[in-house]
Amino acid sequence: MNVMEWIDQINGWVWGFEMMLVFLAVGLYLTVRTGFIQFARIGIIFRETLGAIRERALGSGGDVSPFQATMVALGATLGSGNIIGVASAILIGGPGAIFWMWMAGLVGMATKFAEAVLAVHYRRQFADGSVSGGPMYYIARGLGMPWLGALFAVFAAIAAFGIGNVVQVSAMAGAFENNLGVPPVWTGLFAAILVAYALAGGIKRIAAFAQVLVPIMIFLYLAIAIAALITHASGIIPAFVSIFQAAFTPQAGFGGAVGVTAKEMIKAGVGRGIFSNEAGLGSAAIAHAQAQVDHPVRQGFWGAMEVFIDTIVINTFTALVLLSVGSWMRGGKPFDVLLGSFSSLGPAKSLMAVVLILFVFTTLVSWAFYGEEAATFLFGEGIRWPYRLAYVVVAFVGGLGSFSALIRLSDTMNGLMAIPNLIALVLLGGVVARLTRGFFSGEPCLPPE
Amino acid sequence: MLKGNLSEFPLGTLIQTLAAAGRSGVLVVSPPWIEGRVALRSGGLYAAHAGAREGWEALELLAGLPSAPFIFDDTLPLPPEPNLALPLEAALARILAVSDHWAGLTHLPADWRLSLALSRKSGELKLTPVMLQVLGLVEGRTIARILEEAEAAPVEVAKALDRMLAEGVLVLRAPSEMRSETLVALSFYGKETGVAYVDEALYREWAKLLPGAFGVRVKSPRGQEAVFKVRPRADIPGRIMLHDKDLRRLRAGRGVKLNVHPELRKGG
Repeated sequence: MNVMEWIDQINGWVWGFEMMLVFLAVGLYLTVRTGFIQFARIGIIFRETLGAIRERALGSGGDVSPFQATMVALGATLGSGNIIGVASAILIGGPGAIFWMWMAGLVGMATKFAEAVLAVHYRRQFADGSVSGGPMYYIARGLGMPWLGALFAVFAAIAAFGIGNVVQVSAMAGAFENNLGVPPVWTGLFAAILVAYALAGGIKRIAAFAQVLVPIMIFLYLAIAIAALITHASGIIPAFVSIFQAAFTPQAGFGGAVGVTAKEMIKAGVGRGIFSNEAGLGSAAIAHAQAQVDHPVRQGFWGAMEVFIDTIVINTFTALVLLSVGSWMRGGKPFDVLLGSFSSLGPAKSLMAVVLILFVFTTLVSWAFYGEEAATFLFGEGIRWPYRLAYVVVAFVGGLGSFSALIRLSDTMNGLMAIPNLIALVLLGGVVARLTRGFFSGEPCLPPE
Repeated sequence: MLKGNLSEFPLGTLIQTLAAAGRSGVLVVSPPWIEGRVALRSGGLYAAHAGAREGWEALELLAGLPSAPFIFDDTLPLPPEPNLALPLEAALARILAVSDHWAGLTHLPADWRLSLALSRKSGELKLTPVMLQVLGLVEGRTIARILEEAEAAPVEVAKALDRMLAEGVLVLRAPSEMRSETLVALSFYGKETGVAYVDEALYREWAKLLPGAFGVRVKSPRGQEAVFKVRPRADIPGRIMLHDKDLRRLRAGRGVKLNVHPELRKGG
């Protein structure tokens, strides 16, 4: 067995069905430890996040506002998984997969709540007021296992080059070439210049980009989806009915997904849900750690909201468009099915290309920051500029070739990030529970010993 | 034109810098309660005025300001008559020595707009002639006015005030115009309502200015008003934390700007 076969073998494990059950189990455990926070405190979650968007910074630690930190995290989280991933889930698992995607999202809200809470609680604060945080820090400082934190950082630093960079740039290059006829070399140059500009300003400039671009792309995508739904309004209620019916009767048969077993449906729904919202992978915690916030739990609410926006809102709209139009029943490649669903809008291809480009660019920039923070954890501040330079170079060449080995390696590393992170979430579940209880008792948060 | 604040450029350093550059002009120091002017001619000290104080005593008084905006304007006319005859080096050395004395006064508040009153507390304190002089002036006057009007040198008056405040002979009277703050609401949860948390630094400032237990009167933009107990909390600058239920009673929410006025509590 050669190295790539080994990597593929590991990839199969880390993205396999059993691992998905682990994600769900950890999410359920955290749901219980936090007193069912995503259900019992849903009103507070909304008031403390969307209800407080106009607020700027809170407290003195951190470099960006809680909203900006969340937009950086959402910039990385929202991507092709919210569009193509949902189409794949329906094509593989039928409409019932969406129900299980929702379940993964609801459970993932507690997971990401815990990640954000721990990221702020265990972040490292420097003399100049800047901070660094994320799973590598809560593993090292919270569990007292710096080697495990370093392992997470290694996975994240490598994963950033693949799923955060090459995959995104090649998707953008493809969209530009197919829709606008732009050669990939120009797309690579464009991406490299934009990324270089964003990265040169550090987290503050990345956050400034994200706080504008991410809401624009969310509203743009939702506007397109709502427009498509209006043209197929009669299909909306049957779409909901099909989701719930198929979720509990998987063998009933629905078009392209005839003969879907319960396992296939759950795997498609949960798997694509996790892939879409990234709850449990730990990546978003690196962004949440940057928030200027007075209490970790307050940022935790943003973590939960991030999953809600990703999976419950955006993925649901994608699913409703696909199901109400019904073009998925004929089968086909996910992107083609998707384009077919939006074709009633006229310039569907161009609109989807614009949305994809926005999704891709924000992912590119946010993942650059994740990788840089992970590399800094491993090698110190001196690595920041070399890492940025390498990232920009890879962004340039990303659209020129297939780089399949790098993508497979980074995809595996992305999956592996979950292992140390999920271990930490389970072992630090008590800390999350204590901080949550303290917050709802009006107690101030004391820094960890 | 040179602008700044004495908190960043202490008076001694500022005069030394201007003198070294051989500047002529007037340094105007403007805390809210007094105006001070120090005139320089060709880098030498020429004249100083601070309220009713003149000459060296004015410099001594201005050296006690930990924070005040200043402007050095070389177009302002110099006073007709000089009132400082000290050689520059000697004057600077004296300013530094006096500044050290001021820095050691821990009970005298930084805000000299506050009034003083005799307390009812009994006890033994051996009064010095300066203290006796100050006690004759104290009732109903602000600290700034006492420092200006007492016969003794400002730093001696300040030392006497500091000592009598420390011993409880004098108390700070709640100023009639305690400044309101505009703070952004932040919610907290739990069982305890009727409590407001403000940033530690603001709480300390209020505690220094108010002689007894105090609370805050909070007004919302919709005109609702309520009084809360107040407590300090770390790391919430520019914020006031109120219980979620209290915020709703005020018809306000997180992120709303509230007018917050500190006031003495009854019996406090």
